[in-house]
Amino acid sequence: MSEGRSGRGPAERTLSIDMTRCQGRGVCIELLAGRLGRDQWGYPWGVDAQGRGSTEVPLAPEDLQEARSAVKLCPVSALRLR
Amino acid sequence: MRGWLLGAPDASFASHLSTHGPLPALASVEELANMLDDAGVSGRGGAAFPSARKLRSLGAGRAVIIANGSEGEPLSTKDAVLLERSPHLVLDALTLLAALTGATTVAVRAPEAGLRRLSQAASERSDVPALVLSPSGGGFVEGQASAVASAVAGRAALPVWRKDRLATAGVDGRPTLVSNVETLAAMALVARGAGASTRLYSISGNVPVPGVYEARPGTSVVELLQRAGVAEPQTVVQGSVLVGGFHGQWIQPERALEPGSAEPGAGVVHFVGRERCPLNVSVEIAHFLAGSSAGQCGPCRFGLPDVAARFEALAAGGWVQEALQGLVDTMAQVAGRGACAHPDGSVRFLESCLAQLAGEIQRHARGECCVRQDRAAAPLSGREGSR
Repeated sequence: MSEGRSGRGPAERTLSIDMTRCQGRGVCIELLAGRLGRDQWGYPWGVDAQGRGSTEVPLAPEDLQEARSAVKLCPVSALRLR
Repeated sequence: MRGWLLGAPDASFASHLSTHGPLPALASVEELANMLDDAGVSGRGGAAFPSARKLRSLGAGRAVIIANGSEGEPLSTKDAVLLERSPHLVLDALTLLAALTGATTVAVRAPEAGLRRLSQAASERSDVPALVLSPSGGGFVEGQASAVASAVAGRAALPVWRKDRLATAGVDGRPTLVSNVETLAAMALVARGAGASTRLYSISGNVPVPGVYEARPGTSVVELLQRAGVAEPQTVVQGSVLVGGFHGQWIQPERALEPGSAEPGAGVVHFVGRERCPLNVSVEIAHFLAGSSAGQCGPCRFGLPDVAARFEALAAGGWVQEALQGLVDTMAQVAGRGACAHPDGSVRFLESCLAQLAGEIQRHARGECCVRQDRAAAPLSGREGSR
C-alpha cells in the first residue's frame, strides 16, 4: 500500500482487511466503532481519511485490544494485525 | 533492424541472430540490473515499475520466472504481435534470467497462439530452459501479476490477496518474477548493449490503419496517430484520445503533441474522432470494467456496477450536480479496496472522464451531444479496429 508510515509511532499498528474473504458480517465494525464504518454495500472501511481508499486501517495503541478480538472473532478470518 | 523489438524480418532463429546477434553472457543479476537502469527500462504491462528494481528485489532460492503475455486489455494487441514476430527476444530474456537467477521454473502465460509460437521458436535452439506453458483466457483481470502467478501454480487465474510480495513468496511460496513479454524482449536488447529501448503501441479507434506500431521513446500521440494514417494534427486535437486503455486516461488535446504523451500505461492509444462521442464510449467502457471484476472483493464486485450505472445516468443528462456527487462518493468507496489494481484503475479512468469530458457532460445535461446521431448507440471499436 502506498500510504507512508511516517508520523506514526512504533507502537501503532495496522489492521489489514482481506477483501477477497470479507463478507461484511460486521463483527470488526462493532468492535472498532471508532475506526471502522460500513461502506454503502456493508463492508468495513476506515472512518477517517487515513483508512479510506485502503484496506489497511491505521490503529491507535488504545484500539489494539479490540483489534485483536476482531481478528479472532472474524467469522471468515479476513483480518490481520500488522 | 538491430535494436528494435520488431526488427527481425521474420520470426526464425536465423533471422533473429542475423538481426540482433547472439545473446551475450552476463556475469550477474546486478550487471543486467545496471544495464536496465542505464537504459531506463520499466514494465510494459501497464504499471511501469522500474525493471531493475523488480529484478533486484527477487528473493534468493529456487526462483520462478514468468513471462506474462496475457494481455487482458481489449484495446491492446502488442503482446500478441510481439510473440508472433519476435519470439526469440522473449526466449533470450527467459534464458538469460534463468541462468542469472538460478530459477528452477520458467513459465509463460499467454493465449494459445502465442504459446505455440514460442514453443516452435524454442525448438529451433538448444539453450532455452524447459518452459511451463500456461494458456490464458483473455479475461481483463487475468493479466494481474498475482493472477498470473496463481494460474501458473495450478490454481484459478484470479488475483490473490498477498500478505507477502511475489518477489519473495509467490508461486508455491517461491521467489517469483512476473514480467510482461515486451519488457522481457526489451531486456534482451538492453543485454546486447542497446540504449534506451523502443516501445510498442496498439493504436485503435477512428484511424485509417489501426495496428501495432513500434516507436522510439518520446514519441508523441500525434506522431503515432499520423503513422496510423490520421492526416492532420488538427484532426487529433478536435477528437479525443484515450491513452493507456480501459485503465487509462483521456488526455487533453494539446497534450497529444507533447513528447512521450502516449507512454503512460501499456502502450494503448485509442482515438475517438468526431464520428463518436467520447462520453458515450466511456459509458460502454465503464460497463465493461464493471463486468470484468473477478467478483472476489465486495467493493469492486458491487461498487463497479454501481459506478457504471451512476455514470450512465450522468451521461444521460438530467440532475447533473446530484448525479455527479453520488458518482464521486461511490467511486471513493471503490478505489484502493481490492486485491488487485482493477478497482483503482477503473476509478482512475472515470476520474479522467469527469475531468476531461466535463464539457461533454454539460452538453448532455442540456440534451445535446458532440455527435447528434451518436446518442442512441456508440459503437466501441476494439480489436476489430475501426473504420
